[in-house]
Order: sequence, then structure tokens, then C-alpha cells
Amino acid sequence: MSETDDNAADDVRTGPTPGELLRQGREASGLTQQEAATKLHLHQRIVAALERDDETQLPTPIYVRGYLRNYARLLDLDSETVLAAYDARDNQHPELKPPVAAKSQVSSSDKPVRAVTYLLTLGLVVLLLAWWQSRHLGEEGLIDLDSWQLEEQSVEPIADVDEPADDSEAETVDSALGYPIPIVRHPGGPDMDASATQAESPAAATGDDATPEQLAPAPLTATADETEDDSRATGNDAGADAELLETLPEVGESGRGNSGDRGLRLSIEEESWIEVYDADGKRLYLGLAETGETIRVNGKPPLEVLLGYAPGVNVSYNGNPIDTLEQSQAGVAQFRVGD
Amino acid sequence: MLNKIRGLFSNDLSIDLGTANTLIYVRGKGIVLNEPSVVAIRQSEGNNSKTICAVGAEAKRMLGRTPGHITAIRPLKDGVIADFTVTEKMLQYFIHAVHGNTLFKPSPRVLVCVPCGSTQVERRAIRESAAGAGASAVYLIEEPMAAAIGAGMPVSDPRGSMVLDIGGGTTEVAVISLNGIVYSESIRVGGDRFDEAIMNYVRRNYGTMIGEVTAERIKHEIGCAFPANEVKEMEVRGRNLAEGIPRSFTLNSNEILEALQEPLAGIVGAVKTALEKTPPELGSDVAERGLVVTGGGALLRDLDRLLMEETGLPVIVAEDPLTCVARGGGKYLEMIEEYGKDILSVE
Repeated sequence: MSETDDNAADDVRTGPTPGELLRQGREASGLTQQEAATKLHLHQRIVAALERDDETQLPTPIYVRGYLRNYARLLDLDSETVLAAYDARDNQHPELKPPVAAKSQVSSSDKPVRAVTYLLTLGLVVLLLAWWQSRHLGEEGLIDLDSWQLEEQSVEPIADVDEPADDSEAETVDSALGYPIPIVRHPGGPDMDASATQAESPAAATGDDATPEQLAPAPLTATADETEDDSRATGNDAGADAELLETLPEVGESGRGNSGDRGLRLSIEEESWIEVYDADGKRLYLGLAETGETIRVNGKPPLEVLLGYAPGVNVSYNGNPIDTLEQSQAGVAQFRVGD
Repeated sequence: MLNKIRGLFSNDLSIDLGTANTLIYVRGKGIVLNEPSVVAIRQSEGNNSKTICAVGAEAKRMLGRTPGHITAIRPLKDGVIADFTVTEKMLQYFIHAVHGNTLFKPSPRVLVCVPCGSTQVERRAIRESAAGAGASAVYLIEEPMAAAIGAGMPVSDPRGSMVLDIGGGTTEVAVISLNGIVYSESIRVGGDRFDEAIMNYVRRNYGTMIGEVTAERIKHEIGCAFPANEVKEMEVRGRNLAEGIPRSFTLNSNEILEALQEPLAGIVGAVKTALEKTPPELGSDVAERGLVVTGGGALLRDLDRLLMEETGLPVIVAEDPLTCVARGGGKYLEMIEEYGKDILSVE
């Protein structure tokens, strides 16, 4: 109804609508809507819509103009008048649809899409490279760190390797990861005084908790033998731990002559997998030991030892042989020493 | 970006290279050229070289009135190129006429409308002819699609729209939906065949020869496709075959209607075949809204009534049917800038 009102309002402004002209013409010629529709080959609904000027029921203007022209000709009206009336209305209601859909479809062949694709691909490749690089570096870094720690740790036993008493086997000590331990020799013992070596050793750092055995890392014994007086002197000078000072003679006494037996000694008679961890869970040794090899491991006791083939390994701790067969199950032994 | 800068200096053209008339639409300016596709060639006496003597309306006036050393020819026949070199020259002339001095202007991009029934060889000939005439890029669009766009039909809607384009050499009927042609058929019947039919009729019934131009004039003035209440008459002069001298006689519109029966039957047959082969959904859309007639043939009086009676569909003659194809091509050129050339399937 509101549309009719609108149409009526339009009529006031622009005179008769095309629908009105046609309806009047049809009534004058005595045709019914149905008859007109049949003659025009149109649906009656469309003829009614034309007469009502109901654009919602009508197709696009090209068709409407055609219908109007044909209808006017059927009724012997001047088609130009009717079309002019329609155009006047049409201008007021420009509901023209674009002849070609305004849909821009993004295609994979479009330049921007292609550019974005290339950029994304490049970005992914760069990221992949960066990740690979960082992973590679990270691994190296880890290894460096481990080996650095091992070196730091293994300097002590090696210092005791300097010991003239027992340097035959000492040099064969391997690092936990199987890296050969750099053997640091101090032929002129006095060059490196005991306190310096001690200061660097973790044993000294944790000296408070350490037992005399723990504190018997080889360097101390090694240097103690040769430069006992110096170490005492420097120990005093540096305000070295009293414990340390106390243990020194002890170590010196007990270790004298057999200091090479300090710590865990594994002599391999048959090939076996061996893992050794210290009290902090730090890995001291991990690997497959070959027949005939002798492994010495020093670390913060108690040491956790796993032997893959216990019957093939002779274990001694601080020179005391340990019977591993008791603790072994199907050849595999896991035990703790230095409690 | 480059294209935009280029567009400032160059005009893209849409060319309706028709058998009877060539129309050129310049983007942003509208139809700037509407000339008959006729070329007059002068043959030099001494050497055997040929030169273009006149093109377009001027050449058409010479048609059938030339002395021995001038030949006025229509280089297109049945919607396709019959004489490649002459077509190229003609296009060159037309493009130069609308594009002006090319010293600072880059070559235009040209959209040429081709009949949908044309073969690849014929399309290639048109493409190369346009390229040879100075186009930097040539797009080909099928005539019924251009005609439908030019007529203002809702070609992008998912509804069937049937268009009948009666040109000089061919008649194309197509059903279009979603910017694409669903069905199309091209028959080699058009305005030229109407003229021919009139010439034949006059020769047969009056024993008189009339020329193409006269036949065309008869068609324009009293030609009709459906019996009308009002009978129009026209006085015609031609050469009487029996006496060999020019005679004058009177033709009426009913005679012309009779003369045109054969080509008209061809057109009606093509429309009926199209309706028969259109998928049912689209067919129902067409039946509801009707078919739109474009092209010069649409101006034949009461052609729409004939089609309406024969098919039972509402038939609508497009506004300004002669220029629909060129305008449609032009609209498409404008759309290319906005939406890219993938909105329609052009070659």
C-alpha cells in the first residue's frame, strides 16, 4: 500500500505514470488484463505489475521498456509518451543493475596474489634455514658446553696423571661422552701451585660437604706429593679450608703410592656398555667400553654405575674391588659406590 | 600502473567489424565512427599496383557505380573476412580516423567482435588484421555477448537471457547466463540476404534487375516481416531484363514480406532451435522475460511481431539496435579496467 502512496506522490510531481497511461488505454479499448497479457505473450502478473508501476515485480529496464512499447503499440498509444513517462520515473528510481557483475574474483594468477605467494614461500624458506642453522649451532653449542664441563672436570684426574707414580693407565681416561680428554701435563709441578689447581676444581668448591675421599681428587694428591710445603703455605696464605688442610696429609698418606686407585676403576675384560653418574646426576661416562680398556672415573660420590655386561668388568673403588655379580641381573648390574 | 599511465594517452577501441557496417566505440567517448564496411580500390594504369581510393560511406556511394579502374568491394562476407589485405587497410583507416596522430599516442588496445560461429582460422584472420592495422593488443569477443551487454541485458545474473543479433551477414542467437554463453548458434542469414531476396523477387516477378543499394533502400522503406494493416508502397527503378531499358514500377510491403519469407524463416528456425536446445531452467527464464533483438535486422518492421507469433515469447527490440554490439564491447572495455579481463571469456 505504501508503494501505491509513493506512486501517487510521484503522480503529483510528474503527471501520469506509464502504468496509468496503459491502464486507461486498455480500459478505453475494452480489453481485460488477461486479454492484453495473451496478446503480448506476457504473464498476467507482469501486465498487472506494469499497470501498477510495481518495479519489484518487473525485470531489468530493457525488458520493461520493451513491454511498455509493445503494450502501447497494442493499445494504439504513442509509445514514446509511455516510454518518456517511464524514463521520468526510472530516473527517480534508478535501480539499474550493472550489466556485468561487479564481482572481482581473486585468481591465483593475479599479480598481487602471486607476489604474496612468493613472499610467503621465501619467508618459509628463510625460516626453515634459520631454524636449521640455529639447531645446528645449538647442537654444537651443547657439545661445546659438555666438553668444556668435562674438560674442567677431567683436568683434575689428569693433573694426577702427572703423578709419576702411575701415569701408565691414567692417560687412558676418557671423558663421559667418549671425547678424549686433553691431557694437561705440568712437568714442572711448581709452575702450577696447588692452590690454583684447587681453586679451579669443583671438589674444592664443594669442599664443605665433601668427605676426605671426595676431597682426594688427584690433583691435590699429585701436587701434594711434590709441593706439599708450597700448598700448605699457599693454603694458609689463601685462607684455604681447614678441612682441606687437614685432609691433605691424610690424602698424602693414604694416596701415596697408590693414588692411581682413587675413584672408580673399571677394567674391561669383555666389551660392555657402561654408564656412570655422580651424586648430582652429572654424566661422567657413557659408552661402550672395549675389551682391555681401563676406565677411571672421578666424581662426586656416591657414583651411580650401570654395567651392561657385569661379568666382563672388574670394578674397584678407591682400590677396593667390588663384586658386581651380586647386583647383576642377567648380566646387567646397576649399583652405587662411595656411599 | 603502467597501463593506467598508458590509458591517459591511448584510447581503447571496441570495433564491431560487421559485414555491412563497422562501428567503433572509444572508451569514455562512445560511438565515434559508424561507416559502411566498403572499400574502393583504384588500380593504376601503368603498373598493376592497387591503392585505396575511398573507405566507408564515400566508398559505399561508389558501390555498383564504379568505372573500370575502381572497384568498390565489401571485404567482409557472412561476418568474416573475405579479403584479408583490404580488411586490414580498412581497419587501419578507421583506427587512424578515430585515434588521430599516433606520434605520441601508444597503439590502442582493440576489442573486436566476432560471430560466435566463426572458425579459428577466421578469428585469427580478424586478430591479425587488427594487429596489422596498429592495435597493440587484440581481444576478441563473441557478438551475441557484446550485443547483450550493449542492450543492457542482465548478463551477469544467474538467469537465462536470450539475445538475437541480426547483422548484415550473420544472425546470432545465444542464451546467456552468468557472463557466459550457454548456447549459441550462428546462421549466415542477415541483412544482405534480405537484400538479395528482394533483388531475386523483383527479378523473378517484374523481370527487372535492381542493384544492392536499391534493394537495401526498399528494405528500409517498405520492408516488413509481418502482415500489417497498413500497406506501404514505393516506386522503384531498375533495368528491365526483357527490354534492356530502365523501367519504373511500384512495390508494396506485402510483396516484400513475401520476398523475405525465406531468410525470415531461417531466422525463426534458428530461434526455435535455440529454444529447443536451451536447458529447461534457462528456457523458462527466457519464456518469462522474452528475447531481445539487436542488430540492424531488428529495425525491419514488425520483425518482433513475427517472432512473437512464431515463438509465443515476448520479443523486445533493443534501444538503438544498430550500435548494441559496439556499445557492449565498449562497456566490456570499461569493465576490463575495473575488474580485469576475466569477467568474460574473451580470446
